[in-house]
Amino acid sequence: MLRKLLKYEWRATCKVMVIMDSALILLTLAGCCILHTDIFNHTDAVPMAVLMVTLYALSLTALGIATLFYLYFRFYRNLFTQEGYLMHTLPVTPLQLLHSKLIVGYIWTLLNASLIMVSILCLAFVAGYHFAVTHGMDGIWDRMIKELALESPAAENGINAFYKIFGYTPLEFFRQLIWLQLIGSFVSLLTGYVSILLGQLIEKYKLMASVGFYIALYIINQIFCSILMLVPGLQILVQDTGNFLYSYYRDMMGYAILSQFLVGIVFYIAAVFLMRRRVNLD
Amino acid sequence: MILECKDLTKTYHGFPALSDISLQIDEGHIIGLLGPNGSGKTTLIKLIAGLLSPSSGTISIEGNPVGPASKSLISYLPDHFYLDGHRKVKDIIGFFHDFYRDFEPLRAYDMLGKLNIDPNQKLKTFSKGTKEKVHLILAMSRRAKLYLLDEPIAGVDPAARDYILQTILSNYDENASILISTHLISDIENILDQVVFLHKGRIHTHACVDELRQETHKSIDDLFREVFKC
Repeated sequence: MLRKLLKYEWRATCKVMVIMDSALILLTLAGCCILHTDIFNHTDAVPMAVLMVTLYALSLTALGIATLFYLYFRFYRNLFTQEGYLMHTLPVTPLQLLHSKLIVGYIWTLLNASLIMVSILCLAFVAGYHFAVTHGMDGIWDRMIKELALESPAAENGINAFYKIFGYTPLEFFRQLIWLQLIGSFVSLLTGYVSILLGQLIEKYKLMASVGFYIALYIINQIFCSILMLVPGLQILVQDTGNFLYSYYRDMMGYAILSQFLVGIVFYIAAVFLMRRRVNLD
Repeated sequence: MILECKDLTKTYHGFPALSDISLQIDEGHIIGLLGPNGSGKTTLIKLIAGLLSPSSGTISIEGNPVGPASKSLISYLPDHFYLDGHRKVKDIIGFFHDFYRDFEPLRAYDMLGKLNIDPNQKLKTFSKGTKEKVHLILAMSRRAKLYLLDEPIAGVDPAARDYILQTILSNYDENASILISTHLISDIENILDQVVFLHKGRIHTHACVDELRQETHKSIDDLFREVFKC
């Protein structure tokens, strides 16, 4: 039954999600094309460049938020409004309903986050490459591309500076970022789902209550994450390390991933517990 | 026995919607669940369908508590539209066929054809009456053990009512039972063989229609008006 639920959930979300992800891809392509021209190589084009970068950043943020909120809305509408009369009378368990929404939602959230990341990297690459070529620095650019893929810093290579500040090679940093994204996407999705499920416990104004729970859960997550990320700072202060920033950045990502992993487990257990409660559709 | 409710109570915001309902339904009956507004008809049906949880008491359908097993035996028609209007009728039929083993698509297409309803059209494009018919066709295209029909004829014209009642009669299995909730008693009186009168969340009467008529020398409609006189 879970497979059938997944099939229909995927079909139901496909249309809207494909439109949003296509918009993101088009935005990236348009950005790359604009950056590849000489349009920003004039001093008087600076305000235009700032405006376009701002619009690009806002569009990415809007698409990321829209994806999440569409999936929240779909979860709410499909399970707790009129459509819930169909879903809750199917011969499936409440956990199968939750898992179908969670798996499909996670795939879309991850795809969206990956596209956003790729979009930023593409634009950074095109802008850097265009700058290097137009300023006669082709050699430096080629060398930098090769060095970015290196596993360990050597004294003579250009990424040594990055390593000295952050305690990672760019490749290591990117790996950590991917882990954070994998877990963070799951937590983001669950934050909305758990809020909606908590809202169902309230007798009146369930949707309003869900919004309130979402804000509360978001703040709790941020506080927990911040507290856990203070740990590397405190350790460094105790150890009295000479290079504070280097040591802090090196450990910070690990603690951020750990905090999201723990929050993810707690939210998942909460979602399972809340879904198992008997439903009460008004 | 298809349905057994024991000491069923449901409270909303501290107020009882149903109190100590004990009800047994055997197979092969069409039971009218009758009562004025707010008497608890929809609440009882939703409890049996698994859309509400009881405050106390138990429900079993062919010995199964409310859950996936009981839901596979029940065909439920709510008192409002609940299907996604953006979906085509044939897609909804596919959905029902995928999830309910006892759903018979051929029967659904046959009924749609008789009513000239195009399965390739989206549900939202139909009139209210046609939507009601589509919902009923979907519910009655299952070989369920228990049909829960909540106000199936409330929003349609008399001609459509006749069609709906005919559909109900001609599609249900002799081993199944139908629980119909309605206000329009005179329209369905002739197809009922048992009635349950609900009054303020309690069972006022649960009797065989013929026996009740003989005892009181009144139609069920007249009896209802007498019992629930304002």
